[in-house]
Amino acid sequence: MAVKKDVRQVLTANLLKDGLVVFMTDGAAWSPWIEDAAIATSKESALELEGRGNIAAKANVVVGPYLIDVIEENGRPRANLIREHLRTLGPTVRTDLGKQAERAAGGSGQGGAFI
Amino acid sequence: MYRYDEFDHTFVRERVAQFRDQTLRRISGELTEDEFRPLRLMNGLYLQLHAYMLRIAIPYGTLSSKQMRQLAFIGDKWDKNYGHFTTRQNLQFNWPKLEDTADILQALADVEMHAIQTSGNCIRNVTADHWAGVAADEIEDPRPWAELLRQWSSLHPEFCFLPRKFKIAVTGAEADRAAVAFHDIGLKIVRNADGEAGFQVLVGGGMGRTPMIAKVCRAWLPKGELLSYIEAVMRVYNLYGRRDNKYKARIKILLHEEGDDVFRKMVDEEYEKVKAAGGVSHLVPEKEIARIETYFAPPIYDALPDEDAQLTQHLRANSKMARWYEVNCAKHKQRGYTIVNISLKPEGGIPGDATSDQMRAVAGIADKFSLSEIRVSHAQNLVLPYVRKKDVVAVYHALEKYGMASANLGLVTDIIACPGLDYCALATARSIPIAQAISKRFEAPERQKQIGDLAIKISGCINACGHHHAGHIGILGLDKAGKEFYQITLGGSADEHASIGTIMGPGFSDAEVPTAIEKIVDTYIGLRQPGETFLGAYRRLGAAPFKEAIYAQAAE
Amino acid sequence: MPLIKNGHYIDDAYIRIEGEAPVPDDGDVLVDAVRLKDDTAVLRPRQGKLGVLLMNTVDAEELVPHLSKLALVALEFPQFHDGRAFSQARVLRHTLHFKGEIRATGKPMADQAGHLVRCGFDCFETNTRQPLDVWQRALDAVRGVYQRDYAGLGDVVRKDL
Ligand code: SF4
Repeated sequence: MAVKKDVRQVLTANLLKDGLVVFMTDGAAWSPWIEDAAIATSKESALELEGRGNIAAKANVVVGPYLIDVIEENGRPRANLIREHLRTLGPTVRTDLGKQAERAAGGSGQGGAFI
Repeated sequence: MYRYDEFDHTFVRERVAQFRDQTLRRISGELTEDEFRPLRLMNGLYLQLHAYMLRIAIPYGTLSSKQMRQLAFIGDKWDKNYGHFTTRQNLQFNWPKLEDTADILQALADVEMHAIQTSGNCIRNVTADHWAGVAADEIEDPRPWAELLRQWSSLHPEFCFLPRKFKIAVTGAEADRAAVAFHDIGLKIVRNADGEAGFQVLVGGGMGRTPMIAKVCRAWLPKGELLSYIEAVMRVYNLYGRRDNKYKARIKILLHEEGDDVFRKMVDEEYEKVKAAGGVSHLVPEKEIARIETYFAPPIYDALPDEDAQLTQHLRANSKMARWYEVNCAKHKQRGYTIVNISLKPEGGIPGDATSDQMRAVAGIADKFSLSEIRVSHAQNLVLPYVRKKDVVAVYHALEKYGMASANLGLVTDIIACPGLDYCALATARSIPIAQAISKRFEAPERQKQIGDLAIKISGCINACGHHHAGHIGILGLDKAGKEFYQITLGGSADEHASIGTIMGPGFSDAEVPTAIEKIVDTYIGLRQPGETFLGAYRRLGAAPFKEAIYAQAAE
Repeated sequence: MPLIKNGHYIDDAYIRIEGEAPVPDDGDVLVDAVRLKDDTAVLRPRQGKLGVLLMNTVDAEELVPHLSKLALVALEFPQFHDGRAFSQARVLRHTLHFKGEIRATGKPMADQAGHLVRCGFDCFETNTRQPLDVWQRALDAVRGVYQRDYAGLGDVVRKDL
């Protein structure tokens, strides 16, 4: 994805082994929660995130990393496009599944990075 | 049903072992994602929005109860206790892990199933009339030929790297329930002037970005020549089909650009070469087709009166069951039997989804009342093909217990919907919630009955897995500046009088769709002649009154 | 690029004659297929074998007038998923009964080994990421073939066919 001028971006990917959606954190780890994601606010920091993602892809941790645009809501990132927003939730027709269900069960991103 | 012999077993087992090896090579890093992707796709494993997705082939939609139980088991052990039946008569699991996939494929191989060629630019799972072998209007059972095609197309040396995916459907009945005119190759068993059964071969149908109705390439082909003739079609396509543009790569575009006559000539010339090449005979060995046919011999039916007095009594006493029987059960070729269609479209539910418990329940019912056999229809419903009328009451109650007794087959709430943006990485909009909202809007049984036959089909993007082009009412989900919106088409049909729906005009937001559909339906009810279906009325009246109805609201 | 044939790496004996460059008097040469048409010097009697490189947009039948003079037809895979060469090889072997070497050049994938062999290829260009043993493993992975007239040596075909 092209890096834009007024940047608010996070890096996402799917884990190789189970395919689940993850976001790159400030600590260069991967978290299932977009709330934990490192937010790039400049072209340079976005490129740096992308570079770290490519290294993780080469190391066979994740598949297909890419940057997504986010807006900040109460200081937390929220994906701009509906497609990406749904990736942070799960199927809207099965709210008992996916991240939305885990979040409802209290699993959401208080730290929680797992790699 | 077909049963694997030693050869089939070995073939599938070796294929699983190969994929296990490839998966390990991927996880260890020996294979890059670019190298591995085509290999996993050839085994039906996609990476979707939230996770991997595994698409399992259900050849020509035929399942044994044992296989259905195994699918339920896989759903419980390696997925999230449910699966999704697709418009290709397949089953998709939405949450498998890469690490588990080889084990899942092994569990499938144990019950004579696989996921080979459910993805990729190859010949995909062959589909067929879901009432094959039992439909009252059938000329001949197409399943032996569908099975022959399944085997012949499996890892075909020459045709696994085609310009694009390739879909074949077969029917042996007069009414087309397999949508053969919307396939790359559609095969229809017909009789020639001498009364001999052979294949009418249609080529170049399809949906997607450029929907087309298939053209007759051979009016009548002797059955034994089927594979050689298809080989000629495939070779012409493989050599001359476009590869420069994914959206122009299907065989329909080749046929369209060359023109019917030129294309037919290309195929005929190639076919002559195939026949002349020698080596083995170009005919299917009679012994082999006879071997396959024995598996599809009709069961030994009980001698029964056509009407069952007790059933008649029960139906009189239970109007809900009577409605279900009238709507969901179809005429069987055998006296005293009926075809029970299980709707996977509960009002407001997710079209085509079934829980593991429901799968097991269907397997149990099939064991007791349908000779352990089940079918999957391209409309995302299930079929019990061999039910004695005297068992209908028991079947109904068993289905009801598991929420599978919706009486809506072919009605307004029997909606086809692809997974859409709730699961699919290619989607531009959601389709399931639209189906649910429409289904809720029309849930009153009297209303559904009043409306009659109506096929609503919804796709979440231009790929048209939800067959929207062939819907009496088609809905296509698109993206407009980051918002989902929906285009409505009318007048499509997938039957023996196939047609492509016409776009009505500007799209609607998700919230507006149910009301627009309601206006279309009300317009039909207001203008229909006695006994006229929605499609009949649309074909008589044209688009104008419907357009007026849905766009008048916007002007108000 | 390394070549694999008969289960071994082999040295490429053919010298590639690019474009319209002259064909030497001896040595095995690989020329573009168009030169068979316009350039009689290519077909003159000489020491060494003649091979052609056939693009995947050209019909294999175009080679018919010269087939008996050819020892090698090299077919191309610009990408592994561009499968036209499978049909070209099949036509060469099965329809035209070509007995010489059919070589897969470009980017064939080791995991396609079974497909390649059954269509008539007997020599494969590979790269360092796909060593010989990967090709061999791919070839041995699934030995059964449903398509009776595509079966090669070592394949298992359904008994009765
Ligand atoms: S139609 Fe589009 S959104 Fe729906 S399943 Fe097919 S590719 Fe996915």
